[in-house]
Amino acid sequence: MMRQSLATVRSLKWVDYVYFALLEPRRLVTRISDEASKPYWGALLVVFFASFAEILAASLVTVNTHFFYHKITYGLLLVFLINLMKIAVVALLIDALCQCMGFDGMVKTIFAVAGYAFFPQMFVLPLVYIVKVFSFAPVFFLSVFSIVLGIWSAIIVIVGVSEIHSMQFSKAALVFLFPYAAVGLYAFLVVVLVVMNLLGYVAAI
Amino acid sequence: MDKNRKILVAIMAMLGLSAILAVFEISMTIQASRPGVYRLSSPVIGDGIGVVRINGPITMTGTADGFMTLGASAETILRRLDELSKDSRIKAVIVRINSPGGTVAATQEIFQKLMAMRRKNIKIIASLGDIAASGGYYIAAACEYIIANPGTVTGSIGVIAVSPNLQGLFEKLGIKMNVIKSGAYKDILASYRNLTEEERALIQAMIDSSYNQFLRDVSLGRNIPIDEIRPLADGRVMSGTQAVEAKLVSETGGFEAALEKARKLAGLSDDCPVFDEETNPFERFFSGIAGALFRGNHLEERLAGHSNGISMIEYRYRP
Repeated sequence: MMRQSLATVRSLKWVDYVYFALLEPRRLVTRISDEASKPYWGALLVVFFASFAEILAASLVTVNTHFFYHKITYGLLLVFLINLMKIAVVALLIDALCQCMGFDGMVKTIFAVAGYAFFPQMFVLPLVYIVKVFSFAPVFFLSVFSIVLGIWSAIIVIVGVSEIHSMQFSKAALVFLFPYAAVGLYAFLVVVLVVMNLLGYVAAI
Repeated sequence: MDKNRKILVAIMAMLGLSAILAVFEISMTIQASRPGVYRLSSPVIGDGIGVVRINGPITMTGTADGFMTLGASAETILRRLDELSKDSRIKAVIVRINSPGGTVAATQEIFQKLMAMRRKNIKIIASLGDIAASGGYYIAAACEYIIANPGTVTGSIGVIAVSPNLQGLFEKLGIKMNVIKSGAYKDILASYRNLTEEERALIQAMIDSSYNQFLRDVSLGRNIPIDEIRPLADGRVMSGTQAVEAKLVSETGGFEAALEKARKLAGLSDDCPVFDEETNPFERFFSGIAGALFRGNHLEERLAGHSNGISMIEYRYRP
């Protein structure tokens, strides 16, 4: 078992997932779909390391206290779990919408693709490091890099969804935006209703 | 595909390396800024003492802003002093000097800034390290109180201009320079020919002028008549103990003594915060490498200075 795992690592075939995620998301979908057991471990690892890079990049540009050591232990687990929850919710909502539109349910594949799509976000660390070393507006560039890499990740998921269901890129983009719009609208309504109830409660006292 | 795989593994290794470096740097920064390094006790709010460090040869832009820090840049030091003078919490400033001096204008700018801070009623105390000679002492003279270690090399009040004369070497190698100049003195101190008597007189006049400014400023800063300083101002170096006897230094002691004096002069409590400079661990690392590579290479340094056309008239101790 151990020997087999080592052989797998040495073969560097696992690198293909990262390569496909970065440059050829359509082949990533094909590879994941072909695998009998979906490569969730790789996807989870990518999300974990992306969360680590995210925390380190943010820590690099801020003033640090000993709280940093809590951030890279408990904080890392927290960010990892939040990112995991985000992927799960996004994958579930995308799949639910796709099924409503008449497509087959492919939630496992979408989940794996969304996990690998986190890989570009790891680049935020070296990029922020460079601007930090040269003291070139690191906080501003942290935001810029996060947005740009976030868009890259989104494009990977959109291309993935487009490939999974053989739909147009624009249609896949709308499907991808659906979970964010739905959760955003839901959160907005909840906040408004909570505020209205609180105001009513305060007025009644 | 194999090639792509290897490239990706290299990229992932780079990501891993940057993560390790980031953790290392952040940890170093936390360790360096932890309370208790210079703070005797914890409060970080309230009035306190600022620390400015002047290390190495002083030049106007220097190399201090670069990746490999070799000397003190006056502009960086002035920015730090400006920060401190604008901070209402700073009631006293310790200028920690470890410098053999530097260029005339850079030294004078720092002197003027410190005098201006003194006029704003900020207590300025100099703490001399291994060496605070010539321009290093010039800056210390701006401080209200000077504390030197008994073995600090200080003094060296004077001005120096050094220019290599490579005429013989040029002749031996058969190198001739084509010089087209607008005036007789345009290539004064050129290394490819001897200095003429007239040129020597011109440079000497400049040196004398800078020397008189040095005497005047030391007299002003230390509140000692120029006539008392002049006998000591022949370029001689002295130990901290000798400097106390000559009234060039107020007392002997180390950095802790300077802290204590600053607290006392500014009426601050024993547990007041001390705002020391924070340096980037990368800067420290690379300055360490630079120091190891270039330390003591005076000839190369001087020749490089000349080839770049940098003025060699300095308040500097050159053993």
